[in-house]
Amino acid sequence: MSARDEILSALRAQALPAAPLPEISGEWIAYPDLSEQFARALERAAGSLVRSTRARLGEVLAALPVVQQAGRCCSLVPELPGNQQPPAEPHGFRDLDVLIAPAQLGIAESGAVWLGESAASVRAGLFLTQHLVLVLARQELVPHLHGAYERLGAELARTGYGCFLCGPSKTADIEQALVVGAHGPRSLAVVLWE
Amino acid sequence: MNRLQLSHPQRARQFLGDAERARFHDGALWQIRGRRDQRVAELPEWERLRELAAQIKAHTLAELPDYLERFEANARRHGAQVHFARDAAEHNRIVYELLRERGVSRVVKSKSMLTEECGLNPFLEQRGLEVVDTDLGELIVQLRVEPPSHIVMPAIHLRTADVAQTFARTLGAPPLADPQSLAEFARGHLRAKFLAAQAGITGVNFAIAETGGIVVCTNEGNADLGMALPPLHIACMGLEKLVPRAADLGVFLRLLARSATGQAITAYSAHVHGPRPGGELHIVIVDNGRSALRAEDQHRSALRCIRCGACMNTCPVFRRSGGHSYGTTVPGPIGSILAPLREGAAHDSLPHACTLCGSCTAICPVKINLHDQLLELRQRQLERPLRSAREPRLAAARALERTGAALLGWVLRSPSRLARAGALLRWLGRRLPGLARRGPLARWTATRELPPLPERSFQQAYAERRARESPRGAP
Repeated sequence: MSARDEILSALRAQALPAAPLPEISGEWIAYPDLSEQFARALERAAGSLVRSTRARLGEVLAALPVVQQAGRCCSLVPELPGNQQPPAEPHGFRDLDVLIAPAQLGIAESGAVWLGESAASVRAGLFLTQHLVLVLARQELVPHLHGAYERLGAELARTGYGCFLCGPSKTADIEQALVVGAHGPRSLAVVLWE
Repeated sequence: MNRLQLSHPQRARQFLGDAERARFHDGALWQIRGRRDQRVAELPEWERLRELAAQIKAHTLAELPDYLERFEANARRHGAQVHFARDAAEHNRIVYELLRERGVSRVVKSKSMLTEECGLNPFLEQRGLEVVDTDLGELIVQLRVEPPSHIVMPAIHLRTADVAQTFARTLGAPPLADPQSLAEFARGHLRAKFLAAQAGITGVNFAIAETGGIVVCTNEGNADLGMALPPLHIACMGLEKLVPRAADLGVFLRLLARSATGQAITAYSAHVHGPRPGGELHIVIVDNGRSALRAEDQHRSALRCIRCGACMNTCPVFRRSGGHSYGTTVPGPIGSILAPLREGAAHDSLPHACTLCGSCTAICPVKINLHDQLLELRQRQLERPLRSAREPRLAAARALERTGAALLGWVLRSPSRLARAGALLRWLGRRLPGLARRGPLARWTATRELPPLPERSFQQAYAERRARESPRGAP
């Protein structure tokens, strides 16, 4: 018998008491101002929030210090094109200074944003770039993770790689001292426009 | 080998030999427990989330074979290949064959307690592969040829100077004095490994039956790099990692990082459905004793564990004895349940590494009754038939306990015997502590204080007081 069949039949031979699957519903935490809470949570996660309007988005992005200092910048956001195209191969992101990409939704509770199909073409770049800038529309904020999964719905299973990303890469593995920029980006700015 | 032959108290004594380090360890973990409390207090629905998580996991375990089949079918639909392994050896063989068939010699790994449990690294290294652990804490212990001492913070038992010395000795690092520059050095070292890797191995935090996806959580982004760069991704998971629906993750991801490190969510929570374009994804589902644990009515709930490590951070024994004192892949309260049940008598000392304070049970995000289970395991040790000749001391202890219980029963059956026994004990109690610090009882008394015993019994004191307060006799 194959390992698969042996394991499954061993599990089926065990008589376990029934246990119902609960509905995930009810009242969750509510925030009076989603963008305020989002900013607070993001800062706690060592990220930063920059506010903008739709019209000024290009200007606001161009004024970010990491963008101004960047030698190599790749952007998926039409308001501020970078100076290089996304490479075809994941390793091509190795020398990137700044990546600018659109985020699909943001979670006020934690300061996390969802990157799915909108960032698929720069997936390796999200982690190889030295600095990451994400652009998010204020109307795409949801209060908590339950709202995020509800919004994603069936799209989740169609997304080959999707990630809730919260702040820059970090580690506290040496004496619990927080170090920002473990493997991935050394900084993360979310530009929230309305 | 040596580590297993020693008992928990013996290994703890080694750790406590360095008092300053032990104090640091205790304080660092207590600080994380404090951060957890802050994040938890922000959520009015915390207790409801715990209850939901416990119910979802109990349900999934009850219908596990169905969910496994559903997950397998859905994962295949996305182009992943799914393998099953009965035990650690089979798991290692499957992973090695996948690598060998593709001519892989350089592998990057993100943290996976399952591959630690299976001993995958040495297995692959013996066959000539380079396996690099990319979580910073894991890298440090890998370079030191030590096991992780904590499932979330593998190098929490080490100080900055230890890490600096390790990097200098094994990687030729210049003298570095602070965590920032050490982490920066590791970043450079590991980035080259990521870019050169031909395969990435990751663990799995959650597997979603209804979508066939897997979720991998890290703070460093190392799993994401290992999944994005090399063309081959092998994800290794225990069969208990399933949840039925994507919506269930709303509950678990809100619980996981808050419980683990006091963060609202980890920096990266990757959701993977199928291989990256042009790549391959293989998911290896491992039993290795889990199905047997599922049959244990009293201990099945241990399979709910989401490996957050909160029970370790809060445990007064773990904080003071260090993760290596357990001699197991998963240490602390949950490890003291899993190891004796799965690996047997070699871990008999672990259920005793517990004060029964119940703090672990009180904060476990999936509501495992950890301290009750540890107590049950102690009771089970007493009931287990002896492998006689090899355990003379345990046999003697049991005989002593039986005699003692019989004697106690005899005393308790008669009020006058109880009164006389009490008087004897009070008399002994004033003389015994000195005696007990020598001889065979010293192993117990060396670390425990006997409270001062009163001169009179409660009944005597009560009678005297009544006599004082109503000299003409009670109404």
